[in-house]
Amino acid sequence: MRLRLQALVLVMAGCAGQFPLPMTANELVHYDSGPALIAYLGQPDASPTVCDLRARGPHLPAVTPEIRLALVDGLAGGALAPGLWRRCVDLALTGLPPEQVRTLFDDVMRAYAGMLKDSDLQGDPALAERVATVQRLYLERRPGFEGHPAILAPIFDELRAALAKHELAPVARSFAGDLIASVDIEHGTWQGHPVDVAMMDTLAAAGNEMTLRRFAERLPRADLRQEASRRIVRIHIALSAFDEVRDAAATVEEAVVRDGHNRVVLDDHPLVHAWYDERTATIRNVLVRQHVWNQTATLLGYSQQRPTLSVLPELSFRGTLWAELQAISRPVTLCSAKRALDPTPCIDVTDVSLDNPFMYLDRGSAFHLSDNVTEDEIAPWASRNDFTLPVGLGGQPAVSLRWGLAYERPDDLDFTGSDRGPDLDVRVDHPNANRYVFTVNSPQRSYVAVVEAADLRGFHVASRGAPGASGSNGSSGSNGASGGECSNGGTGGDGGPGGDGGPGGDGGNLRVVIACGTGPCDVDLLERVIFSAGGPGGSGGSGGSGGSGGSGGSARSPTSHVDSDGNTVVDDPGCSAGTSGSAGSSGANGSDGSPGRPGHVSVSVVR
Amino acid sequence: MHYRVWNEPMSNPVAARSRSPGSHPIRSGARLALVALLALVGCASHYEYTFHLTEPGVRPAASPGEPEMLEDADVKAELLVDGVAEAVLLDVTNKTDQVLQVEWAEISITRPDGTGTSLRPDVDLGWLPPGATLAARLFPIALPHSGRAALANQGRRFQLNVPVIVRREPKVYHFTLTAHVRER
Repeated sequence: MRLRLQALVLVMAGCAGQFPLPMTANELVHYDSGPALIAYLGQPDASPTVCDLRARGPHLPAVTPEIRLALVDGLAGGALAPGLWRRCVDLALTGLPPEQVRTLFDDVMRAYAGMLKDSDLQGDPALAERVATVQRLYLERRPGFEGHPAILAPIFDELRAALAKHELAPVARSFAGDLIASVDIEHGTWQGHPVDVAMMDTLAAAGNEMTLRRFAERLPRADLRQEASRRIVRIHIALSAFDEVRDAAATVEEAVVRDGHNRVVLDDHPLVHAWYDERTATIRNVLVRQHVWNQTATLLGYSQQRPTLSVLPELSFRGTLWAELQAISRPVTLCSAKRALDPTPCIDVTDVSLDNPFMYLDRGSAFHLSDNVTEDEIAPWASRNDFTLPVGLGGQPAVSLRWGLAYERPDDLDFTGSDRGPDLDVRVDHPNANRYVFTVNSPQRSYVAVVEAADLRGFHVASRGAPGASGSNGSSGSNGASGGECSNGGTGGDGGPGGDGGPGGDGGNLRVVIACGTGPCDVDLLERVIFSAGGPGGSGGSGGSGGSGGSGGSARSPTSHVDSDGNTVVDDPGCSAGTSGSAGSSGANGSDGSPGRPGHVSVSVVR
Repeated sequence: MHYRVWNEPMSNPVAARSRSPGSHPIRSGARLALVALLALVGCASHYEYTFHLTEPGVRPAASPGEPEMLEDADVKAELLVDGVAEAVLLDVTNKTDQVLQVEWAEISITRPDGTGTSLRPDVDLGWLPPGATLAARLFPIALPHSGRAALANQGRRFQLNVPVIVRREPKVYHFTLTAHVRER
């Protein structure tokens, strides 16, 4: 089992490497695969809301068998952090049809049994935490969320037998004992006794929230579960630091049993003042990655402690945002999850508003940032020094969270025509001492790009003529004829001349308006980075190579004979071999085309 | 104390097999190597742990195996880590005149590498009336007992985090424990 998991984790790690990171939630939805989910959730600040099939923001379209397997093995093999895994599975469960819920619990509990059998569990704290996470998921699941009895019963039977025979090492034994105790509550018994209200009262009197919580979550009857919840609330009320909670115990008890928390009505208790707890507030810097040719942008996050780019975090504000309210004796924060049954006065998340167009409240009571936006939406933020998140409580401005804001240097807005460069209207705004906003109107469409002043030298806007066509190459000369016996070879033909390169297209005309605003503005540099350029002339064709000379004819040997007088008579004096013909000369190279001329650039500077 | 892994056979399959006459020498050699490897594993050093509180004001253990004690105006805590049973033994005494609740399900231990593990008592516990003491056996501490992972813990600090509602105010007690790792 362990080997299989390790192999799977390795495969997943390999797959994760295939995805470009950071991966936004929208990109995950596009990939829609198990390995992509593991890669996404492995990023700092990744939100498990992508697992919620009913989320308002981007989320998985379905929990396919492949995704389910990836999730289960992702935890069991250690590829996913247990806390994030738990939140992802909790959210996924709320949107799954009943049969898929059962199958998920089957797989999760099979993995649990496998981890419990793992001999490393005794000395591996990370593995112990994974076992604890699965156990809590199972024990704290909603009534009605269940696996298939045919799958789970043998797992529990095997655990009971192993416990009875003392076969388990201490760590596995402690987990198994705790699990089996809670499983028995589902049959209405606790330590061999039927659970009733009297038993709960005894537990409540002892402040034993642990057992009452098991009852509230696992008893088979809804009325008994509610009785257990009620007694947990009573324990919490008895311990509350708020005098008004203890003084109105019965009313608060009813509210918490009904709603899961004790919401303060802000109309009755107006805001006095609010603040962030600097020690726990989520502070990030937003980096805008612009895709100028698509006119979209991706919002990414980084922090001083973690300079690596990642996705932007969700914001829950509980324990971070605090408020003093009229007639409430102590500061309050946002309400906790309903299962906490906390009677502490609190602010409901629906009373919180964020005046930031990219923020939205999703299910799960967390605020999220849209990380895929249009350039039109994000460009106006260039005038601001930071990415402000103003928070309102009950419709009243309360406090602002300020994150850093930076624009990554975009691609150059470099336009090349098919012949002549396009005419462009360029407007440069300088809405902030540190930024320039370029708006370029081409014949096709408008493009906006935000450039940090520090990046201005590395950016340009240009209209370029098209490069001239290359000249054709000259034809090769013909080869000279080979000479006959004793004859010279023929001269090779000359190569043909190369064609001339075509002229480059002219750059388009630019009409530039630089609106410096009130601050100083580097007009000289702007004039250098906004330009028109003629296209380079086409290169001339190469002259054709001359033909090689013909090879000389072969030599002939002299012949003679001796006549009747004994004299040698030369019949043929022979001849020497012919010389090779001279090679033809190469053709002349064509001349390069003339470069295009830059278009006219008019610059006007306005305030 | 040694426990067998659940469902794993107790018998040693290598020892149980007898060498048949005429068996292949290479396979016999491989078997010998396997036996040697298992013997090596069997002889691999095992380490045991003791932990000591490092906070100022700690009252040392009366004798080895006894708990150390820390207290403030509200709480007295006696603490002993049982490295064999993989549990933290924590006795808490409420010194106040009000009921005191330990958030038993929220106790955690932060390891030297910064990772946290949840601990919980092996039996469900409730609150402490004034003057009362509750003894908790918290699990699982899950300590490596062999190899480099065990040795790496020598002298390192673990932090036990115990959330408490004392005098109606939430508060977290942090107990810093220094590990001493010895070959068994």
